[in-house]
Amino acid sequence: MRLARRVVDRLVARGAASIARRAPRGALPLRVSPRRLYILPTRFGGVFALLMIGLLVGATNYGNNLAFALAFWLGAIALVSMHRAHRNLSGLSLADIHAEPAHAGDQLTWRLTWASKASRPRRRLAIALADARPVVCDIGASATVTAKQSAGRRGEQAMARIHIESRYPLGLFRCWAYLAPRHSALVYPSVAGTTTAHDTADAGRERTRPASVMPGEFFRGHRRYRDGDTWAQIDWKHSARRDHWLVRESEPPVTPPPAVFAYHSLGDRPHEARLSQLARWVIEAAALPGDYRLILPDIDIGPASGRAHRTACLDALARQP
Amino acid sequence: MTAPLAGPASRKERLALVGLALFVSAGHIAHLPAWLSGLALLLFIWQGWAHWQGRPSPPGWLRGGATLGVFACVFFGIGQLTGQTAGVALLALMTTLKLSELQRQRDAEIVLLLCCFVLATEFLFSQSLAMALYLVVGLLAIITVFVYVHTLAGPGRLRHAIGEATTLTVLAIPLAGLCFVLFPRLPGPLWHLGGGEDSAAVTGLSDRMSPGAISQLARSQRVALRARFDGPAPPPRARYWRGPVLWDFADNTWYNRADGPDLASANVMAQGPTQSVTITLEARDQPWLIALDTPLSADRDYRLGAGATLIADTPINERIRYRTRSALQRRLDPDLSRAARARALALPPAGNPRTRALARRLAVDTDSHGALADRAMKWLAAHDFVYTLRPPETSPRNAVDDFLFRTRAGFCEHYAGAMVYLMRAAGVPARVVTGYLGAEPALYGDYWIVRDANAHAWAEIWQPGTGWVRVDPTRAVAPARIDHLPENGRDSVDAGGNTRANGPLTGLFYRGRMAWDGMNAAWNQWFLAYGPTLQKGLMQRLGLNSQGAGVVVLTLAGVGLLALASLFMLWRMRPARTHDPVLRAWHGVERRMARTGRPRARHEPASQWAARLAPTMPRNGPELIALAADYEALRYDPRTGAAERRNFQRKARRFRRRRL
Repeated sequence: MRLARRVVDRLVARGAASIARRAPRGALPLRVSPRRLYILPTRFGGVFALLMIGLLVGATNYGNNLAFALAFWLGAIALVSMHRAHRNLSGLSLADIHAEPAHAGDQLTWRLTWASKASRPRRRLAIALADARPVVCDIGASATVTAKQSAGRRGEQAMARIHIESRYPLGLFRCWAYLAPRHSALVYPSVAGTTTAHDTADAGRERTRPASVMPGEFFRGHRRYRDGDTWAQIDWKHSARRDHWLVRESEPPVTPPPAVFAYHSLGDRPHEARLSQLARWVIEAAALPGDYRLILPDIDIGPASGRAHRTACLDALARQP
Repeated sequence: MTAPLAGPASRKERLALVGLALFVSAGHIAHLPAWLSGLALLLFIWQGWAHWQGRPSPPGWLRGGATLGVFACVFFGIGQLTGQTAGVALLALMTTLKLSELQRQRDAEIVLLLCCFVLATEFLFSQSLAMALYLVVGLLAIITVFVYVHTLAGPGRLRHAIGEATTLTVLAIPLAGLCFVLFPRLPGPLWHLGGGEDSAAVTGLSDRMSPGAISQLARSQRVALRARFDGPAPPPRARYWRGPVLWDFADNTWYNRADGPDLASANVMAQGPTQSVTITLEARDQPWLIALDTPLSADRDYRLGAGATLIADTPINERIRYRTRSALQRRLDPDLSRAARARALALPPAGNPRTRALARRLAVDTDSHGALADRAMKWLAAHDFVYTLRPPETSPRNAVDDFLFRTRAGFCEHYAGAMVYLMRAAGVPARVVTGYLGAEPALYGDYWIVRDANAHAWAEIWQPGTGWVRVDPTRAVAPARIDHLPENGRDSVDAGGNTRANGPLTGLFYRGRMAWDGMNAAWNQWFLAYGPTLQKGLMQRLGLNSQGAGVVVLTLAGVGLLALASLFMLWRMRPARTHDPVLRAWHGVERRMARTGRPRARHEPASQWAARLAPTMPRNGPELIALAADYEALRYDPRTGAAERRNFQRKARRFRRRRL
């Protein structure tokens, strides 16, 4: 008994290892090889087979040749559909991969560009990375499909094995293949920690930024209502807790001094928490005008602003040891 | 364009499923009671409307209630829930009800499977050529919807589904044909479903002849049998097809008494050349194996009845083909047993006084039975008898008197019955023979068609020395019915025995009908008749002696080939074998260690791994460290040679055999 289980386990492991080993891997373009396609009947296919057996028994019982013909014809069509399912996948190739950056714990989005030499469109393919929810689509001569993968830990993350599956045309067979492109994406640190460190100099003021502050304006604080103030300036929420009205006061846009986000300033926290905090500050700072600077143990970036600077900062955070 | 993997069926998909279910159930309208068809149609309209409007499926209680209602309808309407008609009705109605629940892809798949099944049940009721066409179209429709629900929405979806379904269906033909021919066929039913009242066989000649029985049959143009003669066809006058023979008379009906004495089988002696005929008989749920008068033998199980009729063991409820040998000139029962004689003379004690008087009159001064029959025939010819399919009513008590002396209009059954009555009254043993008269040559194909319209009844009288002799009173009344049989088939004889005129339209109609019959005959002969017997013959012709052995050989060959192919694939899937003998030996060491639960991590160099594990293995630790060092040297030090390699292999082998 134990021996049998060992043999079965070994065979299954060997099959899985063999399948994993044989998944086309390496540089693009990667082709779905006709010899690396796997086919098994679906549950619907199993029920269909039972129906066929029922039809055959009935046909035998009644000596009914038309029922025999129907049963054999349906069965033959099912077998032919297996080849059509195979044909639907075989020869498809993955031409290009583009990853959109993601934060740890979020979803990594891959944009997969497929190409097919055959003129026929590949119908109803389900494409999934690892065990994520599959995306279902038709693929013509060329198509770009967006697939998600859960972004694990910070840093370089290798692309999961692509599982591409087709149940076309009859849904009786599940035909699938694996592709394992050597591709990776950068996962930024997760965004966590407290917000806005760069105006800590204004102590005593409320740190929260009401959403009503216009971009380019800096919120300074509240003051008492004076005649001539417009209704729109009144902060109703805060006024409700006082016996007098409070009015939001803002400064005219001035170029603030560049914010500095330094790794060493967060001395008491663990490594990852510091990186998450810095990522948060960088993202928030990038949404506001003004320059910012990121100081890490091994690198000092900025001060600067703009998309490229933001990416450079986040990349540096992601690549921290 | 993306979509969820198994989302809800879209409106178009649901409408396609409703249409498909309607199409495959449509054939059942012909054989289900009208009210059931109406109920099904109502459900279809309801579902079609609901899906057209995009309504959500009705609540569970309504669906459950409808299901119960359908069961109740079938049970109270048909009287049972089992049996062919009830089963088919339930299947069709359940499929319709399932249409109300099409939320998920799985529901659509269930409906598709049900449609396959519903289509198959159509063939229980008919296997005609038209049904074959229905099969092809139905199959195409089913596969089209299969493809349709397994593709994504988009332009040209339906056109693509039709194209793909056609491709699949056509590509499947060779394999399906091979399966059809080679799949082992088992004879006979495995079980019986439903009672006789469900039987789809239509009535034909029966063992009772009440007035109107044959004339009703003769109104039908259905084919009763098809015959192929060996050599030239017999002359028209000899084309009598023998069916059941009726001995007893009561209540105006000729029949065979169940409690009658058992009569010995007929004794037929051929008096000239015999005629071989191959007959394809339609299913009529009767045991008679109709054959050319008078049959000598047939090539299937039969017994020869007392009336020289071939009788099968069980009622024939499928189309069968058999070969018979018949004698056109014969002597039949020259010696009549006492029991048979008594039965052939029996008449009710009273009734029909005028007929009895006529018999006495005719019997005066006749020296033989034959002469008496001649006189009776002459008497019939001399009076104005009319041959008609619609005879006037006769009184039930003295029907023969009424017919012979008052109405003088009737069909062959009236004449045959009256003749036998007359003969018996005159003391001549006589009996009624039913069967068919005439045959029509097929235009396309070397065979003859006998239709229900050819149904006929005649009399036989017994003469000492010669035995039973055929006397056909219809000939005395309507000679055209017998002598001017539609030889070339273009004239049909109407009820009055007059031949209808030939018009161009009639000719066209005739040709069309003949072409249809030719196709049907070929269909019957080559497709429907294919069963265990023909398959056995085919296997023998292929050189496989018995069917069992042939199937076993083919199956084993197929399974063996597949097994070989699988083994080959498995062999190809083996882990790639390393060519370097040192690496192979080292892998052996790693496997041995892995079995004891100490595998090497992927990132670990060999020496580091050995150093990590050595402290846990007091006896073999140093050995492992030495092996790892040797291995690394052999792999990366170019100065090592063959001698070191062999030494390492030996040591690795020894290590693997140790207890660790």
